[in-house]
Amino acid sequence: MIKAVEALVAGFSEPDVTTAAQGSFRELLEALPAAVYTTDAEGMITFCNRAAIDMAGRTPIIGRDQWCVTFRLHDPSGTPLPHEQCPMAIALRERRPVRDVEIMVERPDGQLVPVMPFPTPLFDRAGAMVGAVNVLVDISKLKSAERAAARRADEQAALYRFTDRLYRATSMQDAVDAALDAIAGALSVKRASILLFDDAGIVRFVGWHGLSEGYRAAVEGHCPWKPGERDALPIFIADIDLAEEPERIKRIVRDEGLRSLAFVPVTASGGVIGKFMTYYETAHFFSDDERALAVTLARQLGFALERQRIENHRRRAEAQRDLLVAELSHRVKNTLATVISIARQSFAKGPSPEQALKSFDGRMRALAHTHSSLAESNWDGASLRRMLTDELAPYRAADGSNVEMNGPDVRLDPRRAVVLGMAFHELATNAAKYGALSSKDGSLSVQWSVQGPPRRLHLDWVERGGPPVRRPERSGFGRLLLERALKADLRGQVDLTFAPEGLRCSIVGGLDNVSSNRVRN
Amino acid sequence: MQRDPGQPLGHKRVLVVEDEFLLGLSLLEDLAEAGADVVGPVSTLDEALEVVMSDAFDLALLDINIRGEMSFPIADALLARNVPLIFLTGYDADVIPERLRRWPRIGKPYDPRELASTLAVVSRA
Repeated sequence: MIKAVEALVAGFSEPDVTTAAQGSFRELLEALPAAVYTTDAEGMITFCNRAAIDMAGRTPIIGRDQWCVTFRLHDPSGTPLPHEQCPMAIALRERRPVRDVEIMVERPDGQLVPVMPFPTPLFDRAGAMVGAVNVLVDISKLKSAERAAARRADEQAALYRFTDRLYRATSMQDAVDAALDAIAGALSVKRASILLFDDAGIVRFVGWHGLSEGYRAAVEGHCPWKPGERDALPIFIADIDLAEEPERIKRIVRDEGLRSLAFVPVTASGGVIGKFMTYYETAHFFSDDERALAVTLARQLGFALERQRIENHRRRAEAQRDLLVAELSHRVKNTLATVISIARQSFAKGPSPEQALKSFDGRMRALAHTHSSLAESNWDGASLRRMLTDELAPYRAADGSNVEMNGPDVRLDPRRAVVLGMAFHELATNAAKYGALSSKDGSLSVQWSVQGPPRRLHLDWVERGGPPVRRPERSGFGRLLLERALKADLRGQVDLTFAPEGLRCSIVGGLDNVSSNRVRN
Repeated sequence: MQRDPGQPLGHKRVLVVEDEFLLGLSLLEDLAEAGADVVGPVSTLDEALEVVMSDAFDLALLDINIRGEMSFPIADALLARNVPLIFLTGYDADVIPERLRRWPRIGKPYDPRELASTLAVVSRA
């Protein structure tokens, strides 16, 4: 392009060109698509071709307009440039061609055209300056291509930074913050927000730039899409004044100083999980590029949030597993401690090693029963009735008439289940050895109820018809367990009555976990 | 005071704070055998605090974890009354605050011989 202009200018400088030849040369110039004009040595316009008139948007007055065919000039920054300082004026004043200058031509209709001029003085054979020729090259396409390229580079950089930050994000909030910055950078907006559906399906602000608290409160919960909706498309409102929105919404938007908005759905696995919004203070027509970019940003954000969600899920599962392992280790230690205690109690107090082993074995079985019934419920709780039924099963008559159980279904937490299970075992083995379950005439009644709140268990173990009961001389493991341990553990009352007609045991204890919040340093 | 060698804790008042009832029972017996006058086993923190506030002790055995809560406030209350203590724990030492680390720990399930020797050291102190 520049070479072609130089060749054209060189044609004028050719000293041997005759007037006739110049005439046909002018015809040639007239037909050229490049804007060309000539002046005399004073800068008065002597000739101007069609292309120059089109570019200037006016027809210069030959012999009166000086230096320029154009209406007004500006430098590239927009500062007005008087005609006497234009490149053509400089070329004539300094008797040299002027190159590598850009100017803005203002047409009478106000339109600005970026132009690169090539003013070149012309000299006769004696070296006297006879005039000048100027070629004006319209560089608006070049300029807009440059701007577009710069814009594209910014977008790419913003997207690249976004991807990079998303890759490093360790939380949902990291991803949201990165997305807000990327939206601001790639779409050149100052005001933007990201909203996500919460567990209740209500869309909530999770990040924003340049929005007031009042505005956020007024629009939170509003979303064009439902959670999980598929095939959601972005919505671009170029001018809120022209949009078909309720007047109330329009007022809220205007009061925030906003005129134009975009709603871009953020999806994960195809379904909407939220949206991002961009806001403009003036009416804004969204270009195809901006729309495509918005969709790209939303897709990236959706992927990142999905990844964070999976990551959170994994972290929670890991924390839960660690907790379970710690809990398991704690339980194993406690269980071992319990087993050792029972062994010591059984062997220290048993009348003979054989008897001791039998007691120990029975107690281990009772403990194991409680554990399996707890394990079946995932350590949620054991059924009181089921524990009693299991414990009393070996001593029940075929028709079941010697054991009566009555009470609501009560679930016992692991701690209470273990201690009550042991207590029932001691009571049952005692009844089978010395009490109502040792003779076929005897019977046992277990009645219980729950009162409260706070819930309290009232349980009465009543034996009848067995051999006459005598108060034992020394307290064995069973009594120690019932009267001291069970009482302390249930924070309740345990009364053993050695009535001659049969043993009675009344147990009262809390079923709800007491909080120790009152304990202070 | 003359002390029976078989009763190293003769007539000493010992508080036991332990929420595992059978473990508490074993402690009770071991301490009683050593001649101690045992209070407990107390199985909740607020009950323990009440007892510490209203009674006097020569020694305390304290489970670190009482129904899911740390018993350090009880330890502080005991030390404020100059009551020496022994921790019972299934945990590592690092859960114990710095200020309480000089007190001996006995792991669970406890070894009766270790309990006896630790009691001897602490009750002499």
